[in-house]
Amino acid sequence: MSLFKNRQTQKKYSLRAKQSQAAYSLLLPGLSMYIPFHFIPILGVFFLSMVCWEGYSFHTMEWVGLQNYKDILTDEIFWQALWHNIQFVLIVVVIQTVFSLFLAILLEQSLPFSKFFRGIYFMPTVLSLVVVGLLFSFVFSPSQGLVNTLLRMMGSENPPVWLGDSKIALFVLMGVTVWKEFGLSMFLFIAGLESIPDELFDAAKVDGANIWNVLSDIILPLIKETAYVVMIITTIGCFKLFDLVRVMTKGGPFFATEVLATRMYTQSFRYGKIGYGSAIAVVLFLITFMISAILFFIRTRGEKVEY
Amino acid sequence: MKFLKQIPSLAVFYLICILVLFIVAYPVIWMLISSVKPSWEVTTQPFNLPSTWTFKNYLEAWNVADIGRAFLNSFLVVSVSLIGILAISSMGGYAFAKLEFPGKNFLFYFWLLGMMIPPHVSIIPNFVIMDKLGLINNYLSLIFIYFSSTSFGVFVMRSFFYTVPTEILEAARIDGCSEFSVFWKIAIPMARGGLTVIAIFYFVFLWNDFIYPLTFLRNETLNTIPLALMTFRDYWSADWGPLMAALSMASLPPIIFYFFFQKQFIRGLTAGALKG
Repeated sequence: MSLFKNRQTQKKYSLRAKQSQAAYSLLLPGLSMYIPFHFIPILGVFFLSMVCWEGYSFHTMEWVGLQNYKDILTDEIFWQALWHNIQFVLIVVVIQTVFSLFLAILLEQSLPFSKFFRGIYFMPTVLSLVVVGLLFSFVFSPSQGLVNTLLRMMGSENPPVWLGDSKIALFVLMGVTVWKEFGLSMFLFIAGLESIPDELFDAAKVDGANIWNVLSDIILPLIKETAYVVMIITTIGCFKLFDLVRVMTKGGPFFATEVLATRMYTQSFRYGKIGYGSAIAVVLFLITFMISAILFFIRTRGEKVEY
Repeated sequence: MKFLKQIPSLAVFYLICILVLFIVAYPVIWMLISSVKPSWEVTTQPFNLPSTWTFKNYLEAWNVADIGRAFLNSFLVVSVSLIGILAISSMGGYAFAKLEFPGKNFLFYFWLLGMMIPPHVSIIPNFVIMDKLGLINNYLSLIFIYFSSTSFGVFVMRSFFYTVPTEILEAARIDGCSEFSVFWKIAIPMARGGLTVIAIFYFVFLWNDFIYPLTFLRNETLNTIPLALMTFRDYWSADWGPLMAALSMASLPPIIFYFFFQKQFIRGLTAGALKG
């Protein structure tokens, strides 16, 4: 009997060893890419932020400690760039959240053609930011663009120069961002709305509630979690902003649309200040990591409530 | 949920929807229409339909502006990367969902960390590493980077493999299936839904990616589509007809796929957005 038991544990043991071996060999290809090309660079950026280096030969690399961070404090363009990111967050997050929630509520009513509208609204999400940026550069081109041609046809003699105007350019970028991204937020809201049980709405109807009651007493409280998630995702997106600026304005005119990511990129790759660019990257990392951590916290808390 | 029943509110509903539809679709439709116009009409009569339909812009973009080569380049990079990403994600996801081994939780969260950090943050060290490996102006740099961005894929595949009943895998093992064939012949076919979700998410990401090619490729013959569009704009800025043709060609693959696999696209991309 004991012999049998022994053999069984032995078999179990070898099965487990076999499984571990299989698991490690399945993980090996992925981790052998992830560690050198994704994980080490994340550590590397902290290291590089403390050196002065033009990026070619390791011999010229010089350890400067926190000097690059001190430089950030006195770099006016950096603070301007950060302020542009923050403006982006403040305006795009509010507009996109309200607008996409509004459309989600409308389109969740399964009236004829809602599916069609939803489908089209999502389409810009699959386009590349380069295509979108180039297309809207033409739409807002001062001399021949669509918007100004239309304005001239309507009798305006001095239409704005849009991307060339340092007061307006940032807002044009915000508009294009919302145009491209609202479909995604809308679908997150639709998923949230679909999880609200229909009985609640039926009950409200029986009680004679009007649209505003339904909105303030049922939809908004139950959609709160989704709204947080949408707002945080949009916020992270606003800090990651790079492609659109690079394509449409290159940070100009006169740094009016410079953001953290473009500042980081030009400083390190155009002016060869690898260390200084890395310090900006670390700031960007800390900001997005903190926001992601909040998102992670909300999502795990939400899951606990669900089950 | 239905509270728009009365006729006036229905009219408002359709008015709003059609207005938004117009704002979303018009620029794209305009781009497609302009691409088949004679080039001068794009700026002189921007709102008219083409006086004659012509594909000259496409020919010009394809040949003169090298969009044709960029198309092949993008196709090559995207297909190789996609195959690798699908393989790595499903292998990793399966191991984390269905196998027991020491260090499982640690490795999982360690890999997941990659999802919480935007690519821009590590672009500088990435460049330094690729430069030291001599991979600048080499597609291997892009392919390695894409192979390393699998955190999201592993995460999604893990949740799909969780839905595969362990009993079936056990039964196959008892019948003498090797660990590899349990994975390949039984688990993979049952997690096909997950593969579609990540294939779509990564296709859109790879096809449209701009910052990595911009950083690693400095040779115009290697341009992927987004880079080729930028080069095109910088050299041919006044020639809007061929540019619109180039933009249309760049967007048609994702748009066409989107209209065929709408549900899967929405699922894949909203899941991708949630990764933060």
